[in-house]
Amino acid sequence: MTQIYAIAKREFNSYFKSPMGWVLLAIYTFISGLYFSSMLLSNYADPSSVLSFMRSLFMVLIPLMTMRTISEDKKNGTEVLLATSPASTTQIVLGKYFGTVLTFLVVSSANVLYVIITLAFGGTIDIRYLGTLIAYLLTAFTYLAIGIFASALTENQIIAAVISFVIFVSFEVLSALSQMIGNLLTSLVNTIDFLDKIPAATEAAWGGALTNALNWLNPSNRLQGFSQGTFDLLTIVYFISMIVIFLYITVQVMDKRRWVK
Amino acid sequence: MVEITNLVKYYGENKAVDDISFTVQDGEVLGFLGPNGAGKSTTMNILTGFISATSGQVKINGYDILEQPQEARSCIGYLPEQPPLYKDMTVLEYLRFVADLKGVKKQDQTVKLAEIMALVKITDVRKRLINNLSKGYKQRVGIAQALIGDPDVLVLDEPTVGLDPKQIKEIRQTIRQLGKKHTILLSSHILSEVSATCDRVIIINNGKIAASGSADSLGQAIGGVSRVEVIVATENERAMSVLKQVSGVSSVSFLRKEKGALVYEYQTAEHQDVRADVFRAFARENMPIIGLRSLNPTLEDIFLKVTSSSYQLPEKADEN
Repeated sequence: MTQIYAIAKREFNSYFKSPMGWVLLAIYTFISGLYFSSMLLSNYADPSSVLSFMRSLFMVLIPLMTMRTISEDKKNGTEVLLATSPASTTQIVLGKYFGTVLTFLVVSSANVLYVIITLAFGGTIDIRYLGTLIAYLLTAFTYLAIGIFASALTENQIIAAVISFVIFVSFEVLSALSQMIGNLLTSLVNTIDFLDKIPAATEAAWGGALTNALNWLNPSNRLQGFSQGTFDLLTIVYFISMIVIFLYITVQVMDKRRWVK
Repeated sequence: MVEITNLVKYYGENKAVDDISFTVQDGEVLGFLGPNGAGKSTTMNILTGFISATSGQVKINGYDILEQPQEARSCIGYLPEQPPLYKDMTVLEYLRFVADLKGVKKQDQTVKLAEIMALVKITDVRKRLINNLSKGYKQRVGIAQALIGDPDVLVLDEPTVGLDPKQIKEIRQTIRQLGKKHTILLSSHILSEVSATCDRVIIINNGKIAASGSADSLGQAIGGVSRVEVIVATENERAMSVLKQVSGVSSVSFLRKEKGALVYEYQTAEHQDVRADVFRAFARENMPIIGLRSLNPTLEDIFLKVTSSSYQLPEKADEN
């Protein structure tokens, strides 16, 4: 436990010792502030729409944040220090993860200000805000885990950022394409099945099932209900599973060099 | 105690470490010597658990490095080839981080870290950013890092690389001092360093142990001839033939001319000492000997001999 804490603390501090943490904080505050104040100008305040807007920028923000977590250790040789210390690889990865999560929370701290401003001018913070906030945090925590995974793959920060960016973009693209991919399956089966042994309704059902499966697996589709204040336990479990899976793969990737061969 | 048995490591097709076995006893300082690319760093990375071996076993204080990694690693302090420093931290912050990582209790940290910093002489720079330190100081911080948590076994990969001669001398003294309490395994390609600091030397070449033993016993294992340098106070070239006539002297060579003296080197069979005869022979010719020095094989000679491709390891050479 002390090891996780020590690594998380160092990780957090290192963001704000380098320009990176401050730059991210500034970018986030500037963009979200611009968005929020433009709403205020039109006599309207909805802090949950700031959250949703900022969530759409995660695919750029989060790779910037996570790209250095493990790749920098590999490059500077500090990986040896961690790997030969009494800390286990799981503890190392958890330490990195919690440190990054904490940094993310600090970077997002401007949202507290928007809530205060909204309340001060008689706005309402209701269950829908809470839902949006949970969706925002779940997405961020999952994407951070994916970003750390990407960072473990390479010692080059830029490549790590590109890998996680491509993964996040493919989530978005996939939700647009899932319908098409399902239809593609239907027509493919239809072509193969030139004797028409399979009823057309079954073929359509298979395509639909594939579309549903892709949508189900895609994190960017799963949170729509939350902004209406509809909580879905399954979705929360889904996101927590995603986090666990990606951190687990990260541990395996880091342990790879200890595998025999 | 470090026990290594039948260690083999392949990098793809390339055999970096080829069936190495040795044991480092408690409180022993073992030097690991070899040319670049001999497999020193690979062996050290394996025995600290950073990378795995293709086959073979490493035990640290009885803990297998793969089966009980946590226990084994907490017995080791490791200074890799490149000191693993976080350059954005100050020296003290960094050492505190390592202390946390190694589970040193918070209340003990201040005292322990002060001791270690005094030992490697970095107390003055403790508030400076590691990035701004010179290479020598960075190396010392690396050594300090390895000492945190009072590990039984210290593994130091080229600890004096990048230091100036004064610092090298200091670090060697520090290693000697640490050797009283710790088991130390250090690697180097600098021969004088190993002979100055180590109880025992293992010479490794092409992934194999080429020779092992104390510097003295290695000299005997190499066998061959013993060489003697003689300085005769004469200008007369005839000294050469005088020397040749002494029985037992096998080969005489002229080394150089000094002020009013000639310097020769002669060889005899091993363990045959004809220095007294040489003295009498020159005395008869009225050529005073003003220097007579036996040139025992240095670690350098041994090293060059065992790492040359034609050399075959003599039987029993790795008996201590």
